Amino acid sequence: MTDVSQSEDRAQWGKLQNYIDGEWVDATATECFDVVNPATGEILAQTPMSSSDDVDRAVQAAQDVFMEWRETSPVTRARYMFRLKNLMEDDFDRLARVVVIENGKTLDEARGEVRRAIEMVETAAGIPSLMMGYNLEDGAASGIDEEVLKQPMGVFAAICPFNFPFMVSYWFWPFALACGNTYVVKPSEMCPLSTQVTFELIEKLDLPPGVINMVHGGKDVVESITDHPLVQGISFVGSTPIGRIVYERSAAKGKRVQAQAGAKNCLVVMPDANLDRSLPNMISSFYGCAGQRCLAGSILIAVGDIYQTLAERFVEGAKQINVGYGLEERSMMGPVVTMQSRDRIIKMIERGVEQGAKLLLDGRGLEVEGYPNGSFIGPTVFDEVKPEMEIFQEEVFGPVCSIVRAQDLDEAIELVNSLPFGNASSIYTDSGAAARQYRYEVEAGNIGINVGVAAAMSFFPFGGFKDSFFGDIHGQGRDSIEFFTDRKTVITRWF
Amino acid sequence: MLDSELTTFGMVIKFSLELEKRCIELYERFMLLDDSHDSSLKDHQRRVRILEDVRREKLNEIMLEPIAGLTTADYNLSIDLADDADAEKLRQELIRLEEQSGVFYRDISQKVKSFSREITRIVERMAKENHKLLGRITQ
Repeated sequence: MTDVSQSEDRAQWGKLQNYIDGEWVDATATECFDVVNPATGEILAQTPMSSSDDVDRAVQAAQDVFMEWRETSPVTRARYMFRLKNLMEDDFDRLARVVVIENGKTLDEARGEVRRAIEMVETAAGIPSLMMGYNLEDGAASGIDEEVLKQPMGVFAAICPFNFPFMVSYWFWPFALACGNTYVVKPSEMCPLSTQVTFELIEKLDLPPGVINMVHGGKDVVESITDHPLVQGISFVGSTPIGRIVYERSAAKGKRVQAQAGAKNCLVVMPDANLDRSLPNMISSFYGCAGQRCLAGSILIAVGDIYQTLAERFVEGAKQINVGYGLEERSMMGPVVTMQSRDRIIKMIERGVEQGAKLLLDGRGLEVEGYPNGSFIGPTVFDEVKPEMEIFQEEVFGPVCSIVRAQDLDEAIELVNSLPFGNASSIYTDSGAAARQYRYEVEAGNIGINVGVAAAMSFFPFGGFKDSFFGDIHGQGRDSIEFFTDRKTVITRWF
Repeated sequence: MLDSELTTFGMVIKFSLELEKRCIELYERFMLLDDSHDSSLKDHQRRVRILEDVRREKLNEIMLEPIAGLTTADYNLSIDLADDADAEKLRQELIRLEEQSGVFYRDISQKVKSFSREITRIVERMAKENHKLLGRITQ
């Protein structure tokens, strides 16, 4: 059963262009980065490594149109979102396929990603209600009223990762635009095509030129955005080291920053957990998107006497995962994003073995028939993992599960909180008391109770704690409105 | 479609769509000889739209879990009919397909119950509808 024959999947995209001031334009730089289909090894496109001049053009265009866009009423701005939503629905299948060919995830996963992006647009379309301020008659004193207005601030920018190449920019820019700001997006240089097709849709909206812009590139573009004096705020999603740099560098320039960074998520399984119901959910958490998501499970903590059964059944479940090209519906897990990522993950597995962890299932050396050049790794399971091992402490960002044992819930929570990361954490239990203790004590921004991927919907905030997030206001939902507006308090007295 | 395990949400929906399209194809042939089943044809066309909507709109990564225990071999979709098959032969084949379809949707409803009540309700309704469609074609 093959699904890989559609023509767009094999299309050569060539050297990509930036989208600045309502036009497709060549980047000034000549250096390019190859975009590779991780399942086939085919080169799909070249990402131009744009320069600071390109960033400056984009930011200037966004700044120039800011007042015009700000004066566009919220209800009109919302209508652009409705139109975009319809365009996305019309193009849904193609959008999902583009995600698969550049990122490697499965079609189901890509469909889920595109759906999430659509939900962001739907939520942002509620801006006339979301952006309302508040007031209090006689709030300042008798006869003197007080009110708060929420106002857009100017140019914002997003620096986006490869792992959700379509969805992540939508966490930010629909809300920013709906609030009356203007925008610059930098896609991942590894997976820029999803944003490219996003801008093909944006072009059809006939927004005032400059309201939203895209600049392809790498480190130079990131640095130019963080340093640009006209950029008011930055949303970043990526690794912890880069997130920290972006936060520090941008904050030093007085910008707002929300930097969503790395993760090392634990799934704690209590002795009373319903394994029949929850095992598929755990498997999906560890191996969905080949483990390349910031909400992926990485450490499986078995509490008490459930260990033996859990380990055996988990390994059996992991063995059932059919790894293959994401465009084939039967594939349950695709490749990791690049050969370099694959090599890095394999080296981490090797070091795990060297440091004494026991491999229950080894995904190294997996070959997928028909795709000899794909960057595939099979599901991998480590047992007897200790807190001092690299495989426990460091983010793998691949399909690797580390099983750790804990005597009781207190010890499990101690293990979870010993990690520097705090993005997500889940517990599987039938006990309300255990779930409450977990929710109360665990230092993570997203908690799952019998849910292994605690992914906040578009109308709830999403962000981590500790080294998983730098900044204060999270993305999505009402937090987005706070991030993309400033509050102005007005005290009024009439004689 | 070759016999295979339906281990992903996408595969289940793809197989469902294939099932519906077989029914549509057969009703279209049947109606050349007996045009009294237009409403059944329209029902299957509507079901295709519903399934496509399910695939596009009901999928959430929180519930993207592997599915076990569903195999295409358990549902015989092959149509063994000569080009000049008469109305009765077509009718018998439609009865068989409607029965298979009802069983399939009931089976799916059990499999997806753990991760989406919304989809469970949709496929349960489709299974019930198969019963109605079967009643029409057997009359």
